[in-house]
Amino acid sequence: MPEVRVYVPGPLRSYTRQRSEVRLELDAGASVGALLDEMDRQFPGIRFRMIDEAGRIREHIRLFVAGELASDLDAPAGGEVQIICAISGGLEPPPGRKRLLGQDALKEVGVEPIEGQ
Amino acid sequence: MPSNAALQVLVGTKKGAWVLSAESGRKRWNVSAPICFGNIIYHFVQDPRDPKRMVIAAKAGHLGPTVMVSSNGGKKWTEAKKPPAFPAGLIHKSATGDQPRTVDHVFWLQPGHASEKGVWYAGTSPQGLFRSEDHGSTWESVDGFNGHANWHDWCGPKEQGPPDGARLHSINVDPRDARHLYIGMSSGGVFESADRGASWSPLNKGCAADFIPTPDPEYGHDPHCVRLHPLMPDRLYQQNHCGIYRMERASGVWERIGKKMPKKVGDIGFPMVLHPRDPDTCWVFPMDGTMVWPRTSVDGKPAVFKTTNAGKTWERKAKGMPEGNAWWTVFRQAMTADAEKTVGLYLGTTQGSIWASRDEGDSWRPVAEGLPRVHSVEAAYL
Repeated sequence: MPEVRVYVPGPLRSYTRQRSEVRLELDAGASVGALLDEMDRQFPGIRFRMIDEAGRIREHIRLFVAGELASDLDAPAGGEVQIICAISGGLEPPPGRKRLLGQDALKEVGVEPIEGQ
Repeated sequence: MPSNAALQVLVGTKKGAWVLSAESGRKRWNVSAPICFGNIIYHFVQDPRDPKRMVIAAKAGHLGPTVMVSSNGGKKWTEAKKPPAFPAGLIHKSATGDQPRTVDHVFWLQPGHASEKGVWYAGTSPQGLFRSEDHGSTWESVDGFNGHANWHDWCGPKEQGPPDGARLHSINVDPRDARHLYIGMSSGGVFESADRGASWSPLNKGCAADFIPTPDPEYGHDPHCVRLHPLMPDRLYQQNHCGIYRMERASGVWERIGKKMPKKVGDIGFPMVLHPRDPDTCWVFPMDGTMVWPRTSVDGKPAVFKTTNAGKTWERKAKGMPEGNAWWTVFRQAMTADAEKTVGLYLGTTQGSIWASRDEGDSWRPVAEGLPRVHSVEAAYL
């Protein structure tokens, strides 16, 4: 079974015994939804904090698969998934510049992400 | 209350929960380390039927809502296995179209009837009613309310309600009959069920709703806090958006007892606190509900008002409180009474202080300061 590395943000680490990264074995082609189901099996309760009862990703949660934002739970899980607690608000980026998210935003302001964080 | 039990005050705040433990006859208070630190705590309640059990309604800034439970007096907390969540298929009407109805946060927690150990009720935002039969670990929808055909008429569209979201609160269980329930909704009004929540009727006759164009509406009111007196269960008190009311249930009509409050103070506020043994005595904390609704203490001078005759007259009780420039207020579940011979009162402020009175409100002093914004204050005996 393919292994998926999942980055876990601070607010959810109470579920993962403070681990910032967990590795899950999923069927090939498994969706983000299947990944979260497996996470919830291993870490009970974690899914509902990210996904509401209608199956929607909560307002301040972002799920990235291989660096690309997953818009819903049907997206394929891929080899690396990052769960990000989104900073909300701010302005649209100026013309010609894209909105930076997650680790790209940290690099833009000169902060190198720490390995495994 | 066990005769040898120690008095505690359970405090829920915007950034966690704390326990204040009374020492030396309520003269000193020990403040605990934070519980669920960083979480938004809407309510922190002990189970009087099983005092070591406690339940917390929590939400983190980024994460969805949950409930935390303790079975050992708050030493250890575990998350509910199944937090309150609306059943699939329920919608919430909105200006942008129908949306799935989802729980934003659990707002109110209420232990069930004395004969139903393990039963709890929870009220949510948006307005939802949930029931647990296992001390708060798993929660089921009370479909007689959540799925009622008139839910949208009673509760309104998603955009309607208070600034922090519309809520179901003030869940009252008749001590004579576990099937007999009252709830309050902001907005929506007071509702009553005689069949454990299977069916509901509005109970708002006589209560003002001056923010609704319809004169004397059947529902749509804004009760802030509704309390049933445990020793006189057919008497209800209500601090409403439009005043202070009392209902003798046989009459079925709310009487505005707040008209006897001083005109300069008015009768707007959030909490309503009842004396545990005297159904004629209760306390309120008025706030400024004029113009744009500053929701501060009136004129920056915090004061509790007390009646000892079921609202015929009110007396200002502010000895020890700031005499001015104290622009805080007290939320609906942030004021309570203990069960001591001379009743103690406790209130938590929007500026993070806990004030206490050892003499039924005659005098006040701060017993904890520097906490985050206080959402709830409840007495407990352990």
